[in-house]
Amino acid sequence: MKHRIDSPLTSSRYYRWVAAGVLIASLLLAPIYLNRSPYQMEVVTGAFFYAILASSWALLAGVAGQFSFAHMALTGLGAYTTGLLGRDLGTSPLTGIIAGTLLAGLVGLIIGLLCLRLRAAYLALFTIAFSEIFRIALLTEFQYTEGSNGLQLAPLYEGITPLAEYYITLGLLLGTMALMYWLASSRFGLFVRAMREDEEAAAAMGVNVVRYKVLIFVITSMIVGLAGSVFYHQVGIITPNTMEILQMSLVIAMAVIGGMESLLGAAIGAFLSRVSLELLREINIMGVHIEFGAWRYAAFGLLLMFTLRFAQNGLLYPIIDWLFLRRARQEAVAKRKQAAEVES
Amino acid sequence: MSRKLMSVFLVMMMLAVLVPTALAAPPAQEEGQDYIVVADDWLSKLADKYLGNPYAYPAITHYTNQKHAEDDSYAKITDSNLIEVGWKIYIPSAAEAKAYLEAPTVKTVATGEDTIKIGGVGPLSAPGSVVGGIAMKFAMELAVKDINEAGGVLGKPVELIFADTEGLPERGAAVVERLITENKVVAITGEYHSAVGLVELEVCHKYGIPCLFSETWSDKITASGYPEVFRIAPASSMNARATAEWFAAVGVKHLVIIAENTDYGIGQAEKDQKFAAELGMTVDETFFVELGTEDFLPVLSRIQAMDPPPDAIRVAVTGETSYNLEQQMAELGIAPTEKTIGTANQVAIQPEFWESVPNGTYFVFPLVGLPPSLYNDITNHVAEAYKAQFDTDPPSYALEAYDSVRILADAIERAGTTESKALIDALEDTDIVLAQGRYWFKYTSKNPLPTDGSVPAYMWHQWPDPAVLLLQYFEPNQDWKEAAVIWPEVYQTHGTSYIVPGTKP
Repeated sequence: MKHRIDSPLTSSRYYRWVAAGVLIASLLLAPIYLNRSPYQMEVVTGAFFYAILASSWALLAGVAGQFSFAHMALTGLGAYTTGLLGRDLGTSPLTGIIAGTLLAGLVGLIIGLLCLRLRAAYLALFTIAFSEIFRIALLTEFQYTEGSNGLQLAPLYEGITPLAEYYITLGLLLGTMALMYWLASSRFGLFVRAMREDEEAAAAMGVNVVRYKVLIFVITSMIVGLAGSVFYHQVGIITPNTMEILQMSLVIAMAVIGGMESLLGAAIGAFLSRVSLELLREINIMGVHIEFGAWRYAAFGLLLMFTLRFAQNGLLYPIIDWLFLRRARQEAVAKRKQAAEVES
Repeated sequence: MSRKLMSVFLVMMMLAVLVPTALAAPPAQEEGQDYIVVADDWLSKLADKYLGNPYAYPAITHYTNQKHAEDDSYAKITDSNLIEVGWKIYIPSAAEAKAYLEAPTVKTVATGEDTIKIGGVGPLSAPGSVVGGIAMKFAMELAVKDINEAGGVLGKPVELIFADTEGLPERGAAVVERLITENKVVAITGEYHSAVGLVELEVCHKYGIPCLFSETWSDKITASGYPEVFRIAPASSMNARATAEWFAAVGVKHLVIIAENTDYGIGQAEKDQKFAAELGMTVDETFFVELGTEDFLPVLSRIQAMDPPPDAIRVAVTGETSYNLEQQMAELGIAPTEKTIGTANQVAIQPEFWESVPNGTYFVFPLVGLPPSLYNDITNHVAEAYKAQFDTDPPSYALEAYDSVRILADAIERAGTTESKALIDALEDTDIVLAQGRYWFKYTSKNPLPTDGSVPAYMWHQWPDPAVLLLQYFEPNQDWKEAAVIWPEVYQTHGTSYIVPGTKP
């Protein structure tokens, strides 16, 4: 029998496992409380959707260093694909969602091939233009897309309940997060991170930068295409309004506030931002009724500016870092020290 | 390894223990039973325990009150949030609860409340049309103020809870859900964006709460055919058809269309061709022109060569280009003439019209909303308040928003209750003159839509007379506010459907 030495589970890892377990369990259990209020249920389900968008954007921008503004457009592309297929060809939502995901991936591939040979700013400019052209095309081709009246989508299945929608969206979030974490921690993740730090150096080390850039763009495009096609089946309608650049900026702001380089930070940032934007509509403090209206977005903007100036790592990432990663670092340092001592 | 295994095991255990509790509903009772309230009971807790759904508490309220009517040893629950120890209540069987909860539009609301709450919806932040939302909110608040100053409704003040939809369907659905389930509003009104309205009406339908749309044009809103849905804004098709219907009414047989070759122009020309065919008119020729064209002689000389000349020329060209076209039409004596009706684009109400089209007398142009010549006392009152705030005349959606709240208040007063079914019934019987004129609903549960399809589905619970008007200048350099309203008949200011060029009304 081959003797195997197990690496001991370090305490930092242990804490991370437990924290993840607690987080996932509380999300799975939340409906016990939320079920009392269909409104809160709907808000939280919507927040999961934004968490998928923000974390996939963080993978693209924070981990791989590619700034794209096409996320909302690709979300809409997924939703419009399944909506139009369902309306004109009578396909089932499942077929539509698969088609929407694949088409978003295909468009992601085309955009990637067209402009990822160029450097950062070009991708940003190209994707802004793409998003606007796509939105305007949807508005003007109203004979096919229903324009600003919105394209109606069938529910995922007849008689779907808010509880089922909650678990479907949560499942989607957990699934995509797992996929993205696996990607980020794989060899692939190492390559794209190397690219982000120094493209020339990575290329010199033998990383095919264009291929990896295109690949990560296609993957995130497919993730948001999937999220969009599922989510808008739940909403029941998609309109070009959803794809305004402003909505895209909101997703970016959420990711930045959470911590752009951390998938979890971005996801939690998006979740908390979305929920608090909803809670802050109006508040009652000791009988004083304050209505924030659109001002809550101004406050959100201020928070973003503050984050960019004073906390470039985001507001949540440092907390995650302090809670879980700090320990891992300390352990690594201690281990190295120990090894060095043994050697000497 | 053991610690890793342990942690994985720990997480698995947590999930194994907790998830089933979250998912598995507690067993629901098969038979109804009497129950004496003890300390720390509340209705949703009991509903959860006995019916397997905390949300089923209204069923307990309903059946207990039903029993109370026959036997007063049962308590009467006036407020579901307030039950007292020792009360005898009746917890229905799961089947009874299900039947009650799924019955459409049965929901007693807010009988114990001291205000009557109406939910307002509209866009107050981007990407919604903020200007529209602000105007509507202002007008609704004005209506509430007027209602309360006149003594409120059913002796109680009316309270407006306005929620921002941001112009996004998902947000609209969420806020309507909140207004109904948490704020306990008795009705929803407002909305500016059709796409948002289409989702909101599903939520209203789910709860059976009446929903009066102020400014959403999509045909599909009222074509939903839901008992809860009413609308006082025009359906898109009513607007698109207005000119064609008027042509038919004044006896036009042969028509020429001049449209710009943009989506708007091409789309409008297609619709006009369709409506003309439906209404028995012939389109002799359709010309598409480029925006920015200055010289229309090539097109106009072909019309001039027609013998006999067309009965009407329909212009679907926008902006400055439409002025050029209209001036040249008039200058060449093609239209408006005794034989040929000339229509102009809606920008004919701009002051620039007379600078660019000095020969523009007798042009007919469309207008959505009321011109000041049709204002009544209520309109004047709203306009005065609106002007003081925004320094401009109220747009049609502000008048609609004001009227919507007052229509609801009127219906609640007539129904004598805020109970949804009675309220919907009262809304169907609406007959009240407000800022935009006399409101009524032609096709209701008492006068259903004919099944043969002769009336479009969007006429269900639709105000049949929204202000989609045609106006006509009859003096040179006339202010548009003085122009004659010629169509539809209920709005006519000069008692005629058309002023033949050369005559005076």
